[in-house]
Amino acid sequence: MGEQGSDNLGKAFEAKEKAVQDFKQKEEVENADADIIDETQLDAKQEALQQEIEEAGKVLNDEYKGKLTAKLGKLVATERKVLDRKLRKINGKSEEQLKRLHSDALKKLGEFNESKDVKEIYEVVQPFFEKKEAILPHINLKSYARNSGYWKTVNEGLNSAGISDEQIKGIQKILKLRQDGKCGPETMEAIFKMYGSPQKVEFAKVTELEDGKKLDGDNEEVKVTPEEVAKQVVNSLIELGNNEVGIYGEFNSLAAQDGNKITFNSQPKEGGGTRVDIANFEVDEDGKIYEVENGKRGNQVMKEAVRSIVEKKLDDYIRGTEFSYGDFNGVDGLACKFKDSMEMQYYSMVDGENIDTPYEAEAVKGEGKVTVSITSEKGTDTIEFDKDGYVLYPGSSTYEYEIDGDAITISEAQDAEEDAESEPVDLAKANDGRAFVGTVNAIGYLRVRDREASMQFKVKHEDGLVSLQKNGKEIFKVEVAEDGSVNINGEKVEADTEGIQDQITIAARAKIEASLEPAVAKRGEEEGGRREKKGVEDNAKAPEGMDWALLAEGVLADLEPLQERCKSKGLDLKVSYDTSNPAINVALYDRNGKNLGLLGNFKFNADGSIVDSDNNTVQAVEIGPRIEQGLDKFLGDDLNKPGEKVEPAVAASGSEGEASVPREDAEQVAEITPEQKLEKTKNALAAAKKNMEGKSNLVGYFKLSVESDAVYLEDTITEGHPPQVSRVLVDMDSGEITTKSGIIDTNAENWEQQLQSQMEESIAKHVNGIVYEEFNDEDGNIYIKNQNDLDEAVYDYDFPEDVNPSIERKDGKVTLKLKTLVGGGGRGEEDAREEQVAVFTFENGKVKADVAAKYAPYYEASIDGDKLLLQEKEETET
Amino acid sequence: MHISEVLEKASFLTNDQKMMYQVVFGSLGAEKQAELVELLEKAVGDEDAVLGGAAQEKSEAIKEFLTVCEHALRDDSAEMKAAEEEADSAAADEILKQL
Repeated sequence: MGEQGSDNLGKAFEAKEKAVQDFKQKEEVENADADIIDETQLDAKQEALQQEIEEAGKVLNDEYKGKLTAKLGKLVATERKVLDRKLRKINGKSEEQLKRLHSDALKKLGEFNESKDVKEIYEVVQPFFEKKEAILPHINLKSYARNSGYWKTVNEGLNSAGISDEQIKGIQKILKLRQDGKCGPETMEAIFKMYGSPQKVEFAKVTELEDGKKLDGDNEEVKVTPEEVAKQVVNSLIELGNNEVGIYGEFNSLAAQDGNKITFNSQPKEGGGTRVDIANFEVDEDGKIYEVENGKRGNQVMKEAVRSIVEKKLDDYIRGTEFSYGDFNGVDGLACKFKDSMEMQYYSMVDGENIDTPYEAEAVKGEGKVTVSITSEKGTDTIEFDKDGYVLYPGSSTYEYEIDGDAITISEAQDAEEDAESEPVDLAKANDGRAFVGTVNAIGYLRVRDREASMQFKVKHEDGLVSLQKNGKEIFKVEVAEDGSVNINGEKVEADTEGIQDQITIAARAKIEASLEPAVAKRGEEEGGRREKKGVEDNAKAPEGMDWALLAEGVLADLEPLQERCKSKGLDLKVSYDTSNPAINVALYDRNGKNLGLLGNFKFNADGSIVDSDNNTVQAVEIGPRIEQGLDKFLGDDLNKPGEKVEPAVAASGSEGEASVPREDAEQVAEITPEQKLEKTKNALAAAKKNMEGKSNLVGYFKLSVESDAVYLEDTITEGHPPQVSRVLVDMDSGEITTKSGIIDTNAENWEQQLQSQMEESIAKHVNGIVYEEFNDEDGNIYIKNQNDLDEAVYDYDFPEDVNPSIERKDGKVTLKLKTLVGGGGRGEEDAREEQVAVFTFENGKVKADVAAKYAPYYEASIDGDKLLLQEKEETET
Repeated sequence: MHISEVLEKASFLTNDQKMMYQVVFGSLGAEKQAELVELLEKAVGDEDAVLGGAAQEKSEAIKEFLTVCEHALRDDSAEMKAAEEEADSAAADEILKQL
């Protein structure tokens, strides 16, 4: 107790004293008010006075009573006149005073309205009150048809009432609504609330005016029932089902409608396979179509996109689905069906020399491939087929697999040297595509491709014969005669067993490339104007459909003898290719991966011969000698003396301990000026943009701008300052090029391509995270493009009025933040501030809802299909 | 005073004006909000003072009127009573004389 108790007592006493004081003051005020008699009480008072006079007269006889009443009546009347005059005077005076006061107050309010920070608000709000009577008829709706676009009619009405679209935007800002300038239901409700007479405008199928008149609006979709939409979709799919016979071989597909539900399924035509659901959709009451997966409504899809979705799924289903292992006509084996095959492929499992039988096999369809597990007494191993039937060889070191016609031969892996010795002429190698610069798939097609094109040749394999057909015409043939001699294209080849395989390869390549000539010429015509001229004739173009990676591999193989010598000195020859300026580049690198310089740049004539484009000359060359010359020149070294230390002739960079680019060649590499680099940078960004436009229509909104030392790529979708998609700075003194990822090595021969790739990556990342900030629009949608989501996702939403949505994006992640304004209620309160109530996070095609811990007791955030919800929790008694 | 209270009392504003200032108030910063409330409070206070003064004056005039009337009532009724009593007394004397 003690001191603390004394303190408490003191406080209690003070509180009591204050309460007494307050009571006294209140009583005084009430008494003072009680003393005041106002005009409304006057008549009652006079009436009471009159009664008193009557009472006084009662005790008197009639004579005196009459005298008294007359005398007092006259007096009261006279005095009342005096009083009334006084009251009029007082009223008049106070009215004058009030008039002055009101005038002063309004003048001061006017000054306040004109003051900084107030004027812009007042000027937006005031017209809505000034023109209230003209505005009300235009917003007085009972319901608003979703997607009707009726807001345009409302806006026109408001325009005629003297409210511009800009002013609508302004009031939306003041009322904390989405500032889209569209006066839809939300804006109407907010205006009613602002006028102090709240009125609900519901979303409905039709727009209904207050007088009961119903309007269809501009968008006719609201007239179409879900069943009608479903019917239209099914009709488009029935057509797909009818056509499929020719396209998809033995599969029989069916599109059906059940009310607003759409199903599409497929079944192998023969063999009694199960009917499989390919795709399911349903249409909601607003006519929106949703894909249904695992019984749950998934993403919304455009009506026009349904067919392509089904086509893709059907295609995926049919490709490589028919894999089984079993006894086929008395032979154990695999049955496979590939995309381009009209027939089932049957493979017998053939054991190699030292492998025990029998085999067991299991086929499993995976992402883009089918894995066949084969088990023998030696263990289990796998063969992988891609969807097109191409064999992806397993990484097994125990077994080798050969697809030879309809047989899969399994044998124990042998050393390469032993293998070469054992098979002098290996037609199987030709058949698996190694001779043809490509891979022959399981159904006998050779695919030759580069980044832009893919061409296929049919490979026929019979006993002792391998041939290559293009459009049914034989273009190449290898035969092995009974005496072991070899004929290539009908000509007997004189070669020892070691060289015969190379000869087959060279001859096959030449024929393949020659057969591509017409396509090359055509592409040359198309690209002629775009080619960078270096004195190389336009016929020096990459063969159409060639697999650049394989060409590069081939060149590298040609350089093998030189490579060995380079390796002995800690150096490495690398071959790269550039399809934009079709060429194969050969460069020298040190053991740290540092590019020491370009040794050769080769282009390809239409006939397949190689042209050295270096030094702006056109001449047929052999790559090996050309590179050897380059190496001699580059290193000043006799490469025929292996084991010697490399002594660069001239050090360009001067870095100690590093093999450097000789000055002569360094100048050659750095010959382009910073201005040219800026131009090339711009071109790389433009190429990246153009390339990516084919992958996302959003890229069309990107703006490329070039400054004196920088190139910018920005998206213009978002209002306000456009977010930077990418930025590349070019140092106009040093020529150094810097991107967000770092410095670009312009010494690398393909630096422009590297830059372009980097920019494409950057664009892809940006596009994946892009958001159409159309949230809170009058149709109540949020448009969001998710990562890994090829189509934009459209979300409806339902949020309480007092939360404001805002969208942020960073590193491909999108967050929709819902904030509310708290505090700032008036004097004595803290400033108003925004607090985050909830957040929806969109990442990797998924959306997640979270409520801030502080608001968790009051709000619940959830996702219902395509609808984002934030709802107040029901109050619970505590 | 809260903005809605002070607006309620601001008789010099129409209802629409009151609603309008309520909306404007919501979009202002704290400083300007305080300034608006102060301005309105001052106007309302001045108006109260004028109305209060007038009411006081009128009350006093009414009181004066009532006082005059009450005094007259008291005086006149007393006078009449006295006259009546005097008349009655004279009449009694006359009767006594006759007896």
